[in-house]
Amino acid sequence: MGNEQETKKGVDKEVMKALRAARQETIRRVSAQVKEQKKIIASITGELKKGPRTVPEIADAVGLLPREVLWWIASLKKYGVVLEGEKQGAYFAYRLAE
Amino acid sequence: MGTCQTLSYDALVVGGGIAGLQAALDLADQDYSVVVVERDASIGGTMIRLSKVFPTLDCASCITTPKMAAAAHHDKITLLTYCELETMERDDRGRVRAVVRQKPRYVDEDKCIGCRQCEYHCPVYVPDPDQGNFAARKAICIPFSNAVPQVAVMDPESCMLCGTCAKVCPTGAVVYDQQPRKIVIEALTAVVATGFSVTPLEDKAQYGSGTIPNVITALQMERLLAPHGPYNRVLRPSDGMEPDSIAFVQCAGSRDKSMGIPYCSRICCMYAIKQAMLLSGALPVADIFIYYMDIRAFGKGYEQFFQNARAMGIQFVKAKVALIEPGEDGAVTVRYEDQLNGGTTTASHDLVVLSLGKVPGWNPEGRCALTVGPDGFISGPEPKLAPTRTVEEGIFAAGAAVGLKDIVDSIAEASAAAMHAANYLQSRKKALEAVA
Repeated sequence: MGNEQETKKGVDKEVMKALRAARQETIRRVSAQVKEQKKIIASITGELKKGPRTVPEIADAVGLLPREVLWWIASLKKYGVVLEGEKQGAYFAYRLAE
Repeated sequence: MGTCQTLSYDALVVGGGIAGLQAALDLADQDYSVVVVERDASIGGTMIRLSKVFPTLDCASCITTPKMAAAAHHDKITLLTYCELETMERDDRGRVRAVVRQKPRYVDEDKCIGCRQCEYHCPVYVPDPDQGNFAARKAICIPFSNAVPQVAVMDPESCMLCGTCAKVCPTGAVVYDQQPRKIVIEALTAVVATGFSVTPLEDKAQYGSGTIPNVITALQMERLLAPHGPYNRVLRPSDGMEPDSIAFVQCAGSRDKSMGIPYCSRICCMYAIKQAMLLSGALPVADIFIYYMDIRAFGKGYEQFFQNARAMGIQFVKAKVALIEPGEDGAVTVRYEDQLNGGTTTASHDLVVLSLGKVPGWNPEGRCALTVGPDGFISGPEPKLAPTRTVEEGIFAAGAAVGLKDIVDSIAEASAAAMHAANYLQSRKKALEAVA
């Protein structure tokens, strides 16, 4: 069993090496995108650390378009990073999950 | 292309939406073996993506999921998801022979337990079309919460091969080098239920060509109204404001020769009324308008549903909308010709929903000998007396693939197609036994 697993891992390494060589362009593009995404997430969560904020407030603070901020808020809410808070006028405020 | 496998069944059902599932269940309940070929990673079709259905206002997910589960757990039904039908023809013995290409999920279907660990740990966020692109999913994910099967799918175009998903997968199900697989299906009969698709927002230049953030499609509104929607409430996509004024623009791409869609989609009047009613529940103080050419409330209980909507205060404006433009602070300006009071009027709304054109979900041309009418929907020799028959003996068609229709009619037609297919199977089996 141990031998089998070792062989399997060895094959996977070879497979990954070949795939990484074949998909260089995609890897470069997606890696750059992920770097950018991490920056955006850090800026939005950084702003929310200061307290609950509405989408336009976050957009003003981090320099993104409100629709981009809403997209990120919806996405981070889905993955449990952000929670919906109280309503402030026509907008809801969002806060970080514990 | 991976290995070629030949599978034999009594019946092949093309399309795993509500019509295809109904046909498959009706045939399987008569003890015929059935295979369902579905293009998407989950069965359920358009219906599973809706919020509620008209005129009963049943939760769409609550009434579709049991059908999906029944098909998935039926001993006589095999589901082939994420599969494209490449060709379907009748051989010299009159059997249906279909060639199917199973697209790689990059996940072993037998090993994946749907735990979503890959999705939770994947670092790549991509727009989620199953949430109207209003939120993200990950480069590897379960398509949506009640997808059947609960098997992850990876998008290789958004994967940087970081190896995280394989590391966290408890069953070793991730297969980065999975190849497409060719499957040959042999069956005695087939039912085609390939549904419809919606024309893109970009097609309508007068309505902003998809560039105005608060002009959305009706299917996007379904997601905003759905319990598991992107915001879990109705918000304006441009900035998250709760809208105060919402307008529906009917015939926004259908009954329009210039768009190449001269026909009526039949379902838009009723789903717009349904969405308007749901909105008035979700946003009690909002003003809701429906700009319409005529209201076509043709089915059982539909006229009453329309009258109820009027009584609830939804404003029906008989008008043809000529132009939609971005207004101040995310508002949307609608310019229309008022057909009752005359003249051109301009109104401002926070959110505008377009009832876009509906077109066939699949074109048989080059794939099989089925014929289509001038509108592209599957045609048959007896559209009046045997609407599920096609020009190919033993191949039947049902649902929106034959012509646009609502869920009730799709289900009824799917059962009719299954009955015709069962009759055909019976006669074929008798003939084969006589030869033997």
